Amino acid sequence: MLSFMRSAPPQPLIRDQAEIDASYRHWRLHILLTMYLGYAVFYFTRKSFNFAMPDMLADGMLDKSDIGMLWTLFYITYGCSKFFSGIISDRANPRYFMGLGLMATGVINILFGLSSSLWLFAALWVANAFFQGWGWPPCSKLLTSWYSRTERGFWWSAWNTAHNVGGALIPLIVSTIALQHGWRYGMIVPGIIAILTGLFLCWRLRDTPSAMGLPTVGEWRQDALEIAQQTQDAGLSPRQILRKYVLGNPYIWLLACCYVLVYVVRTAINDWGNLYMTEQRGFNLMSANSAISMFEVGGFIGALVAGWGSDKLFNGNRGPMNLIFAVGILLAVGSLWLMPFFSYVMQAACFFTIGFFVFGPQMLIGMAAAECSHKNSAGAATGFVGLFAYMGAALSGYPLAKVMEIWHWNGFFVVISVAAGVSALLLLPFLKAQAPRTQSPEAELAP
Amino acid sequence: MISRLASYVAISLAASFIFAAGWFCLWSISLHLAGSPIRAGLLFPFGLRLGLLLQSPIAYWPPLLLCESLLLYWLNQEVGLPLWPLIQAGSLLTLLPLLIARRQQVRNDWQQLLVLLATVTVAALLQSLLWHLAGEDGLTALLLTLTGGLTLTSTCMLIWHYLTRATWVPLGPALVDQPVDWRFRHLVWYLLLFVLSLWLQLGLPDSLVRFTPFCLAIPIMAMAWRYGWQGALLATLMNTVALMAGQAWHEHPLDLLLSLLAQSLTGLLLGAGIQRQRELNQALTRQLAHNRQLTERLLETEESIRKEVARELHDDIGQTITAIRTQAGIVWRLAPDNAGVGQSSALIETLSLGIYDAVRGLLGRLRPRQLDDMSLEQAVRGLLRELELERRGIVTRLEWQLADEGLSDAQRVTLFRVCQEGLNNVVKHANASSVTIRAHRQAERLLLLLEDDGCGLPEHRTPQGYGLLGIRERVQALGGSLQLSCIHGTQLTVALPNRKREEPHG
Repeated sequence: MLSFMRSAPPQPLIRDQAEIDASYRHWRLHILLTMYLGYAVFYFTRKSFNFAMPDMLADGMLDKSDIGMLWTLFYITYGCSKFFSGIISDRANPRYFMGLGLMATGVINILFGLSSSLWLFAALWVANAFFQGWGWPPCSKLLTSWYSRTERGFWWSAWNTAHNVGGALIPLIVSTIALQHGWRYGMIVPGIIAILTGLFLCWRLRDTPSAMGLPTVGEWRQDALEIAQQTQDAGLSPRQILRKYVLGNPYIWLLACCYVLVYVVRTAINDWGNLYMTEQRGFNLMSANSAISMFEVGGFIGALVAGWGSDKLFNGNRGPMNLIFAVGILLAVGSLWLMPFFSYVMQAACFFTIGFFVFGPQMLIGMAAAECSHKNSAGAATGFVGLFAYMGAALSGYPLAKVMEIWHWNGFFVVISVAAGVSALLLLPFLKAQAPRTQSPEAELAP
Repeated sequence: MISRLASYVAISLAASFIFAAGWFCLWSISLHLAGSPIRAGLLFPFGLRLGLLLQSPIAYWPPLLLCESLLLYWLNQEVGLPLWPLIQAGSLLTLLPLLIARRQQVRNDWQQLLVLLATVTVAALLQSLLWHLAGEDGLTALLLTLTGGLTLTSTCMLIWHYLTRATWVPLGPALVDQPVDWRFRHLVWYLLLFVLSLWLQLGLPDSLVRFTPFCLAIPIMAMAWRYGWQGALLATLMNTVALMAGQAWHEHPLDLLLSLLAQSLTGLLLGAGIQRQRELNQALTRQLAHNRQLTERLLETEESIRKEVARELHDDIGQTITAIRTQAGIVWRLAPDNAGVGQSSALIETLSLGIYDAVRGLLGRLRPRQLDDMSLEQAVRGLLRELELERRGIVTRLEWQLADEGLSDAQRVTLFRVCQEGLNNVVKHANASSVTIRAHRQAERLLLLLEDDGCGLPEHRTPQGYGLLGIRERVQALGGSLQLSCIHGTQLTVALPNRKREEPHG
């Protein structure tokens, strides 16, 4: 029944070079745009609740601890779902996987808007988290199969800005609708958008190049590195690949641990930022939220700079750029902490710089995970580090709230500064990883 | 051309974004230390600009400077920096020392550190001179710029050096076969030192306030000793963080700034000094290794020449003498009645036999012939037989565990000579009843032990005068050592480095 979900077997190769070029050019652009739209809309159905929440609080449907619980449940389910759907998506057709996932989240959002009990909310939100996990692995599969190693930094970072666009648009849409028509419509409208976009994805998205009779992207672009990755351990079964290249790969674990810490910072700023602004700096909720959206704007630019810069300046090695940005996170957190001017612009500028620096590693680590694993396990590898990322996100929920209860905002900043610093340290073995290869001629000569 | 321009624009845009974000963060942190927004601009942002301009290619100076002007202008709008044109003028003025610094032909890392120090000092002086001329507090400006400059330029140099020295290659799935290089030991050391200095800054009671500043020098010295200038600068950076974390909450910004300045200066100077020593040391080590290699080579060459001469002598002269003796016999037989001829031919025969013996003796001195025909172990056994030790009532034991394949020719000859000389001494002087020879490989060395239970060395004869002088020199030239002790009997120990040198060509 689900056979259409499975990735199609490779089709016979098209011989005509002009036709290959034409379809590659066409689909590379269109797939990126479609993925971009799809992932941004995934954000609509993911964050809709965050911005409908104040209205629900005002209606007395929920209280703060219920919301904290919903968030934690969401993050944990989302992380797990990312990993497992990552494993499945390596063998699935991204076209239907992503499209159906998005439609499912849309349906759940609509149902959420129609229900009224806490238990139903929790169940629906967990289900939503599960289907949210269907968004990123197909994207990473497409990004690793349609774009080759030496140019991927740019394409991936361009796609990555969908996070920020979705994250910046959703507060505007949901807040406006909720203000006019109540929170139920604030959930239902993103749901409808998601279903429509899901249908669009099923129509416009495509499977990997080989399923369309095209040569692989490495062969098409004559990218030696890409071909090397393609031919590495070509004969292994999916289970062996998963064990060797994802679960048994120390570098993936390293990236995962680093990702935990980056997500502690990202989620802490995203989720607690408006509380900090309102409680500590005395802004109203509206301007606090708009200052937080500067975080996304910064992230938009940061991801582009980091991705493109790592391609251009460091030959596609993600380590050095990652390190620069990790040091930047440390400085940026310090600047928000110590900023003595409480004006809106200054605070927003701090959020901008944090966003700028956080979204570098946020993207580079996911990309590095896909690149350091087998060609056929890109989805599983990114899903695996994603699982850890959302453990970090869950950590910055309830545990961070406890820290703030005891040590107040200073404790909050100490925790996220330490997280940023340690994440930079965890990247060091990654920088060292390449050293033996560059020094090997001398190393062999030495007695 | 177009693509190069596009790439230049893209790189400058990316660099400007990172620079601007970093500048803003540092400005915000400096605000906490410097008090007013304009002074904050003189602290860390000044250093960041200086550090980046010092390292980056000149083509990227304009975008960075433009970026800074825009930031200053914007901050002036937002929080009011009335003196921002002064900073602007200062940043243009400091381009002068920067340009001069870039022209220096610097070959060594320590010189680079000193150039850095000089550049920062001149730039800070220029900037604070402007400040002074504008009727502001020039001394405070000097303190701020020096502190910020030294702290940030050295950090920039450290990071830049790290990022640009390596040729970055993309990482791929092949990584999975490469074990993670944790460098746990290094990491633990860094963290330990950092925690220690943090604890010293935060944890010491106020009564020990005079003591705390000295503690800052300890990690710098430790790291500089271990890792050279990079270590010194890294320790300085860790100190800076520890200092700021420890004292930022107190109300003594001047005190804090001065300590930051002092410890940055310590780090930089100590780093430069130790780096110089390290470089000299390395050069010396290299030279010594080179020298030893040369002497070894010399010895090898000598040995090969000896070998060749010996072979020539043996083959040519041996045959010639045989021929002369045959000819003498023929002459005698041709004229059997002539007594003169008979006498002469007998004389010729005796003389040529004498030459033959002399040549044989010479050959033995030139090169032990045994080594050409048999293994070293067999040669030593032959030596024992030749000296007739058993007949003299000396019990011999030979434990030989060295294969000839691992030895160079010079090593074989030297070991043989040691045995020869040692056994000769035993026979002549020791009055011993047993001799043991042991030869084996031990890790990186070849060991030869020669022991007897005799009366030891005669009092009045130093080891040097004991026929071993030449051999000791040979052993040392091969990078080994020779020890002689005579506590119970005589023990002669020879150690040679365990590696086979390339045979000299030709």
